[in-house]
Amino acid sequence: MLFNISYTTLNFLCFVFVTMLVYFLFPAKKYKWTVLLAASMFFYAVAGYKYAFFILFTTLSTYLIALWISRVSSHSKKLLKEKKKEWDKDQKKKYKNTVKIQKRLIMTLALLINFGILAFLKYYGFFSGSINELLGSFGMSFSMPTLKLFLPLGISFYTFQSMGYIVDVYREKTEAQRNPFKLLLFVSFFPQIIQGPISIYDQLAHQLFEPHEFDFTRMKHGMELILWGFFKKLVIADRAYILIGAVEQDYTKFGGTTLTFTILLYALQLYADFSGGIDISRGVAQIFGIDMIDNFKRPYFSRSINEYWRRWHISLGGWLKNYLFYPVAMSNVFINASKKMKNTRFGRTAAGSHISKVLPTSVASLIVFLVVGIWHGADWKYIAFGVWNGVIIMISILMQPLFDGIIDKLHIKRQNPFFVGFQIFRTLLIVLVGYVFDVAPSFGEGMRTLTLFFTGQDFSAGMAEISKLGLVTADYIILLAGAIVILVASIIQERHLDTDIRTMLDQKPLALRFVLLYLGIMTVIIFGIYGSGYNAADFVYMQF
Amino acid sequence: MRFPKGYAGVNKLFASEIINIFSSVMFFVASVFAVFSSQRIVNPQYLPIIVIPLIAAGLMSVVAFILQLVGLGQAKKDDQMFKTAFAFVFVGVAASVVSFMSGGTLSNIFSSISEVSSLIVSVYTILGIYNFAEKMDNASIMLNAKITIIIGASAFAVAVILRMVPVFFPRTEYMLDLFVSVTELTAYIIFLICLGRARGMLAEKK
Amino acid sequence: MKFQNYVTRTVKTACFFLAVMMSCLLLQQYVLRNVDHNSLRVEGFYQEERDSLDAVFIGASDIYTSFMPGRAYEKYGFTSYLLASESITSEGVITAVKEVVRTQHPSLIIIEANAFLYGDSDNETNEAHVHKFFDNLPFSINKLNYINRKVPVDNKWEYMFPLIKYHGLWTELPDRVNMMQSNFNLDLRGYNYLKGFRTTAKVFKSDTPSLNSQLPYETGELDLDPELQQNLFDLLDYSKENNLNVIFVRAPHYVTKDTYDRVKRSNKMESILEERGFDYYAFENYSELIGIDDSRDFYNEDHMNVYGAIKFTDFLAEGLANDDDLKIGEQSEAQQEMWKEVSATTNRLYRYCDDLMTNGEEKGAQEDVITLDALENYSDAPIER
Repeated sequence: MLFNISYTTLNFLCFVFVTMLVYFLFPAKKYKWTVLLAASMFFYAVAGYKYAFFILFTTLSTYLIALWISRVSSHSKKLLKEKKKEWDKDQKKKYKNTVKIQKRLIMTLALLINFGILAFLKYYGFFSGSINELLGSFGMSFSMPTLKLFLPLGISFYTFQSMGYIVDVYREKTEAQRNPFKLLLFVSFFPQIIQGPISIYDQLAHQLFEPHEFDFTRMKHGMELILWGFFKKLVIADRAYILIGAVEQDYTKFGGTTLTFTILLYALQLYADFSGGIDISRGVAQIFGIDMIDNFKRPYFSRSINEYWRRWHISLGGWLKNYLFYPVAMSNVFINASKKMKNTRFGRTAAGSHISKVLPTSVASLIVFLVVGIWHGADWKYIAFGVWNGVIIMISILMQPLFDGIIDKLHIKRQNPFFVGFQIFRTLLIVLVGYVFDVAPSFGEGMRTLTLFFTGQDFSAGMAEISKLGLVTADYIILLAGAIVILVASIIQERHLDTDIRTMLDQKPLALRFVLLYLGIMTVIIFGIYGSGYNAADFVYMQF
Repeated sequence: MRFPKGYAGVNKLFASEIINIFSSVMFFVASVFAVFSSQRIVNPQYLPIIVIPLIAAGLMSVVAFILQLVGLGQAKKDDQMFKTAFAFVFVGVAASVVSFMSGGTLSNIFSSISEVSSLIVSVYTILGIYNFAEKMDNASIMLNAKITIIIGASAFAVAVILRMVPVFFPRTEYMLDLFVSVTELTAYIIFLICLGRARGMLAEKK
Repeated sequence: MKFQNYVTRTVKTACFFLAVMMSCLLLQQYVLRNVDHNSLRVEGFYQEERDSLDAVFIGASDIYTSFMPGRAYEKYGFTSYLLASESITSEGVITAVKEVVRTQHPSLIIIEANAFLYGDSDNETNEAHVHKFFDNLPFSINKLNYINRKVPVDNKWEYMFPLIKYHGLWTELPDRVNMMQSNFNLDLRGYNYLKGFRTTAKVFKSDTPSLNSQLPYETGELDLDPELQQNLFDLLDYSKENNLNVIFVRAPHYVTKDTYDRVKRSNKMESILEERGFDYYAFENYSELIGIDDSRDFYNEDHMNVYGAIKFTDFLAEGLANDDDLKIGEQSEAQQEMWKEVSATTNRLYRYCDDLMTNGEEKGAQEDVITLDALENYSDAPIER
């Protein structure tokens, strides 16, 4: 990085401010999008100019291949129109199939190239390490070379986003973009490049290319969202990470109580960090008149793991559903397997009938979550994380009738607050088990941690350990207060799904708004974790 | 008269400004005499020439302030903008008192608050006049009011920016202060003109 | 209604951001700030009336523990200030000189050589030492130049807005009340009682013998660190370009074999300055002449206590008063009153420290509320030696 321009720095805020001025004062309305493009290029250059080649390559390959697919489509349509009277039904069907295969091959080429680059850069180390370990265990001397690879900034996000676009062009859901610079803007739009959300082309592109005039209310809402993001990130997430980071550095030496506390804190930290970053991204985009997908919808209120993944990292879930889950679940392989099972003796039973019906869905879910695990990182523990979530979802799909039967037999009302509470608590526990693999340095340590949850609790030893992990009483008070603020805001938002808190705030008296926003800003300024910090040890004058 | 309270209020505001001008002149005269006499041997016969204008200036300032308050208090019954101006007069006074009684950075901060309050009082006063003009379909006064606000705010902004110049160019404060004084005086004159014209408009019997 | 809405909305937004800005300024100035004696000293300099100082002393702790401006005024009538900071860097010295030129027109600038005598240039990048001085400077072209040239790009914001660095100090507020109050009082009062002087009431006793007696005969030289030497040259060039009367001094120290290299570097510095036409008075080499008693007049190896400081002040102040370059300016009545109070406070401080040392107590004494409160019981009559 030339200098630090990450989202929670003053540099970034100044950058946004300057971009905003230029954008809204830009005289040629039709070309306002070029300001966003220039800003995105500048951001990428400052944040990671060394990686520029990769994003440009992805954009160029995506652009060319999309045009190619589009040309094949339009050519085939033209030909079909010309030969409408000449060809019979079978000839037309055969031709259409040929075109479909051709387009699919071209699309696959794009996917292979770009996902290949991503897989190589992100997973080669993991793959080669695992292979070498395996070969070593068989006593073989051959080993895969160790390469020093770097990950270009935002590669996961922009690769998924651009490949989604390619698939949409293939499916003829969207027209191929003829202007390569516009496509580059879609791929590299700076508020989303670092951590998403992953946008659908149809949803984002027209907003990027349309000129937007200055709107005070939109600007205000955008800035409020940015403030909320800063609060979650700087006051809560970065503060909690002081303890989590200390535990991660020397994971194996900590006892069960400390690790349990760390996982609980991690639940807060991860949500605050990720959703805070997304809020900042969305807030910045909103200032420019662009609405990006909300990636989080109060995930810890989920009543099932299925629901959790519809509320957590929504854009990734949406992408995987559109481009992986449906193609897999509706593929001939699974449809045929389902039909075959239905025709067996087992398949004719009630349970068998249900299982054969949901088999494609449940297996596809498992595959999707395997990918989710791999997406998170190149380590067996992430695969375990993905498999854990996938298996739970698979079980819940397969056993749904059984669970429904038990609930009905026990005459439990599904909207009963206690039952809802139980469901939320149960879901949270399942999620926390998954988090263990996020925090633990390895799969083995993750399993050990799970054991320690039950067998390794020692409250006083744990308290003694926790007190040395970098946080003081005041920090815990702030974390607790911050968590309560997030909880209250989430409850309010959950109860008013048709609007959002910022619009509700606009209806309140000026004095209240003023005070809340003022307190919000001052809270971030005073209690935020940023800057190089003050270390008393540096300031002791040695000569005295 | 469509806005009798508004007219009475604006009338008093105008009078308040005129008295303020006289007060400033008196104060200037007293200062000149004080400087003049300090350069000669201190002689009791010069004291009345300094003290009398000074007292007169002080009294006129008090009268002007009271007139301003009363004027805003009356005008706010016909338009809400004067209510905000009225409130900010007190904010400005409070800030001035704190600035006077303290020192250093604290004093500077509250002095700035006082100046901003003063600007807001002027802006909301003119906005009130703009509202009157809009209701009376007087496009000329509306334009006048708009220009007054823009020039007033611009003069303030120029003053703020020019105060930062000495950071980069030391010992330029005196020259820049002079320039700022001229721009602020221009803005003030335009403000007075608007106030005067508003009086005339509100005095109309339709 | 569009224009009115636009104006009222602009006013509301501006008021909101002004409120936030003012709050941050207040926090940065009074609450979330690393206030110590350096802050009080440097800030006090900027409170001095423009062009009211006859002499300004620049340097590190060596000078602000050795020279008493109040004493100098009382005996010789010239006004002075110690624009000094703990272990100030050589870049800091250059900036200090430029700040003096920007805000005052003293007839003499006296620079204590410490910043140029380190064996290496590590001090130049010592964050704590740099912050102690630069954090307390107001915004000026000189401060901005330093930040632009020398501060790493990721730290620039912290130097411009110290609140970014110190916002976390809210955890230590209860311990900092004394200095916060001192800072606030200084701001309200508008002037510094001791004009930067600070001391510690302690008599240094050491088994390691002092080598001060052999310093007058030491002619050996050691090269200055290249970066520090270059900074010295830049300073000299700047002084010449601006026709400044600059003299360099070296305050007395309790020199031992561990610190002997500094003496040789001081000798080298003397040669350099002589070559370039600047005066350098290495008083360190002539402490006996000044009357410094190694067994009584230091509170540690590098700093004199009040016993030593008063001797050094009398000696140096007399020398400066006899220097043709020192021009004593006219003062207003208010200024004279203030300086009388400064002298009185200095005298009280001397007696207070003397009392502490006689009773075997060790304590720092500076411009803070605790020390100033303690001085009330002491006489302000001139100290007779």
